[in-house]
Amino acid sequence: MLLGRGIMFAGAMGTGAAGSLTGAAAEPLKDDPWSLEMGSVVPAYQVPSRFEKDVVRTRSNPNNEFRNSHARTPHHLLQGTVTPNGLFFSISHSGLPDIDPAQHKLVIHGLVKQPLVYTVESLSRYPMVTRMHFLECSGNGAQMFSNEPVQATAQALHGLCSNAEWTGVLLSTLLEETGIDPKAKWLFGEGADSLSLHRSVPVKKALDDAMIALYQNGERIQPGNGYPMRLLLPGYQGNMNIKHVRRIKLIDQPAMSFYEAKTYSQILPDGKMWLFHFTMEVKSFITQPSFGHSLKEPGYYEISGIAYSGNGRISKVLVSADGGKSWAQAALQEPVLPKAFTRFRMPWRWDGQPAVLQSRAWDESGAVQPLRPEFVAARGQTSTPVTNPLGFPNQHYNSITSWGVDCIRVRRGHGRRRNAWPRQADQRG
Amino acid sequence: MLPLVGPSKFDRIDTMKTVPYYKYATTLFDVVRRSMPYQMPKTLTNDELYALSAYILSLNKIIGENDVMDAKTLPQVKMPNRDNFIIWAPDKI
Repeated sequence: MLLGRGIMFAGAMGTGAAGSLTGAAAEPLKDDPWSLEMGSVVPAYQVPSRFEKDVVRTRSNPNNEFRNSHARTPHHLLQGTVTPNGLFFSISHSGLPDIDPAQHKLVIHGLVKQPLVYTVESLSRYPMVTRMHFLECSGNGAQMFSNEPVQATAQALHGLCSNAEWTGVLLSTLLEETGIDPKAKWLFGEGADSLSLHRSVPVKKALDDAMIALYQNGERIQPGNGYPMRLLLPGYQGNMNIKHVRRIKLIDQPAMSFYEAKTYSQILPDGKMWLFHFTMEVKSFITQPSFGHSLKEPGYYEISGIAYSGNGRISKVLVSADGGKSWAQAALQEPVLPKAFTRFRMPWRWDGQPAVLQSRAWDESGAVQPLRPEFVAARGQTSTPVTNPLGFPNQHYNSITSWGVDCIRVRRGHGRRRNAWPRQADQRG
Repeated sequence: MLPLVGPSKFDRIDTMKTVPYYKYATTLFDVVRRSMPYQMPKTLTNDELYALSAYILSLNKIIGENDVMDAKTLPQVKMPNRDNFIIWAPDKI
């Protein structure tokens, strides 16, 4: 039973004045060992408690084989909207370059009035802006093109998106200085990595809200996220946000580079292909509870998740606990920022019976997260089940994620205990 | 890396995108020039880049085995999938 917005906590529980959410009675405090001795000295750079060792990114290439590597954000173990820098997702097509920031240069040239070279130091003297934005690999969630549900965590399915506060210089500020030849319609961005990773970007986007980002959540950008500077294109395919950016060349037509012409182009069911599908469209997924969590007993739980859209702000999120038969409006955590994660929350009382949890988001442009049948009708699905949870059968999946909560199970070795494991529900609708 | 040779029909949404997928042959030349060989990027001469592009295109039977690729001929190669692309949102450009 979804309990709607703004409901009183005690009312939601229905346990009466003496009840609590978990039923644990108050006990007298005892002095644990850590209360009886002096603790360790504070470190220069602090890291999470050793008890949080499982809250890490999962890696696609842990043995450092000669290929690309991905690290996914553990959404099911995080809360709020800011992804900590150490857990921010990263994809590298050829390994992380070890860039000396004192030697890194960014050149803006091509169809400009005056080509210019910038360094980390020179950019630090320009006016900066700070903005919260998500980044998402356009292959994030692509396993869900599978014609059968993929049993995997929110980390495996949706871990290639993260959200941070970025600080840097607007690209429009720099282009004002170089001047733009009116013939320039695109810019060609290139990174300083071994692949010189490269994409064409419309000048229209560059003049809108593009940034040369230098800081991520207050500190210098992480090596896996583009140290010492990256192109940030809010709401656009992650791959376009060129990491370690060293070249921005203004050109009159797209370069038709490998990543736009092949990797990040999508095959449609009618045999046509999309080019330049830049915007990461409105999407949401539930992170708590989700695959891998267990519900100890029937009772109160908070359903919580993440919504975002490359079009702007999230305007509404609906949540269902019965596989989409009925929906209720979730509370949105303020502030709701454009092209950034928005946390949604919904109180829920689980009656111990099978349930299917879903979320669906709307954005301020009027776009709505497509339901599975309409998404499949437009974009297709695989003809055989996806068996590789790290695979990319296509790009730009933004339909609904369903978590099936099993009915009460008997757990071996503990007598009769009530446990439920959210798993991904059948999505064929 | 992914296979470079494959069929030129892309009739499933998860078809492997090999070289015949590219709209233009220049995409192949450009990615090899900037990024390849994977272990030693940016080490081939222009002559080697054109020769390698010609070899891969001929393996895919897009050009003949004896066709010469250079700055003039490479952009003129008609790729089999060229006319199948749709621009997703022209208003964004």
